[in-house]
Amino acid sequence: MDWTNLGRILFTVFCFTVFIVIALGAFGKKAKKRYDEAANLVMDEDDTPANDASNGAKQ
Amino acid sequence: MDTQSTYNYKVVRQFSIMTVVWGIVGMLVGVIIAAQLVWPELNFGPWFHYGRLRPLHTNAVIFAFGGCALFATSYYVVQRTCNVRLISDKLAAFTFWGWQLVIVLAAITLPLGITAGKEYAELEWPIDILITVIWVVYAIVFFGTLAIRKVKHIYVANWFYGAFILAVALLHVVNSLAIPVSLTKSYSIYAGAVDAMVQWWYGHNAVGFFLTAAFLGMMYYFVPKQAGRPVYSYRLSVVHFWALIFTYMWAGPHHLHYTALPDWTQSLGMAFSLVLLAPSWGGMINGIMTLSGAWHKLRTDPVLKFLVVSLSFYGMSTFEGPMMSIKTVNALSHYTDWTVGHVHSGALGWVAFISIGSMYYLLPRLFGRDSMHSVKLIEAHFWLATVGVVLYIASLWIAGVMQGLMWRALNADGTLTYSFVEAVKASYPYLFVRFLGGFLFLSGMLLMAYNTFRTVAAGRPVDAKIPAVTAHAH
Repeated sequence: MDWTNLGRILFTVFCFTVFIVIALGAFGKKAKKRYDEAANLVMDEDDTPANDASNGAKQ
Repeated sequence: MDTQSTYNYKVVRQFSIMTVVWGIVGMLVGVIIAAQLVWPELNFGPWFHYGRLRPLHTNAVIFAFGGCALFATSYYVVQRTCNVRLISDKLAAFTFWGWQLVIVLAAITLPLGITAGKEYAELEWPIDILITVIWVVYAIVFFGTLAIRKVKHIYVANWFYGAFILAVALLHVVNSLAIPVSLTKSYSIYAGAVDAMVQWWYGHNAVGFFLTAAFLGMMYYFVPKQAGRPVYSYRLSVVHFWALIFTYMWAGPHHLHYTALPDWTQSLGMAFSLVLLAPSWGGMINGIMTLSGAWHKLRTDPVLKFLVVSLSFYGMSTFEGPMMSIKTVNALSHYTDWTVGHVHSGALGWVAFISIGSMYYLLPRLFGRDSMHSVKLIEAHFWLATVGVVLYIASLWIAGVMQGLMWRALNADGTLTYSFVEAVKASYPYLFVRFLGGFLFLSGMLLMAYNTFRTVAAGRPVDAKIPAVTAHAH
């Protein structure tokens, strides 16, 4: 038995399983709300210069 | 000055300005070597010979232009999405000055002919060690900032930037392992087919993690921000991330079809290259669909045009790539100018377009302006760049396919129909069109430099204040 090769095979299978679990998790109901919030978080954060200048310009 | 309550924009500004500067330098060298292929008389002495300028061009555009754009945007995105200042201003400044030193050293050593001879990893061992030190500090600044974040969720763009930093560290260290014989000469610890495989494991993952994953991080922040709409599907972005990460590492062998590399390894590389189409297009669709409901903005906003067209080129080159990795297609395309055209549809169309779009987004914000000095000039830049890329890749498609067909053409008695030099001669008109395309692209960058200069001159450096409370969507 080539243990190194078995290790490689098991690692590849492990990676694939992890990916399937992640994909299923991402499409689960629980993730939806969390993801919607995460996606909107960036949009709510205003980084326009006018906004920045009024409350934080320096020099 | 209370540094705790503001973001560190200084290092972002420095890297952004240098993105424009190195972009012009790198692309100028590209135009020069494109001209040398059309007019060989332009090869002056050993220092400015094509063979020495070509690695200078690739290093300058990938690591100087692309690298500075990635440092700038990753530092901006990680701060803005974590609601916290970079963990250390000093270490961030160290990465800026260190990276500029690496670029200058590359610009000196490569024309002198000091090279390790590995494609995209030509720099000799002392510079390799310097890069490693800077990269570790970069990782400390980036992940350290993530660690002290004020927002619980780590936004998807940061995942892509993080993967890029980790993977490039791994690739750079493993591929650069060498035994030095003097200050300017070393020999790789790998030999033969193993050396080739390690080199292209590095080479293709430099494409995958440096030129793709990191710029996808850029895409996931700047496309939604500029379009004013959240990412089309956040769950797709999560699946996109992990699919890309798990797949890319396997694709390297497609650079070594029909070589001494074991046949099964070549087939494995081809199979995974074909699989890569799925995550690539998933990401591309996610980016483009972010605009759904905001398509009208494309008519008036040239910055958005840069960002969206970059995704179109990304989709096109990630379709072309898997196709070229198929062994029978590769038998025609390998070693021809088709490959060079493919690289540039990715490098100019995708990487440069998304970087330019992101810089046009960033620069006004870093200098307290509402927008760039001239939106018309951005529009002009967009069209120069688009026409330039199209001329570039279309001419090399024709040249590449023609070269492949001429090299394999046989007479009835089994002898070659054409000598090599006949294929070179037939390529001249297309190489000229390629030069023209590159020249147009460079002209666009000069407009950008002028626009940037006017924007900076009219503005003043600002360090935006960190909002006290994070606004929540619900």
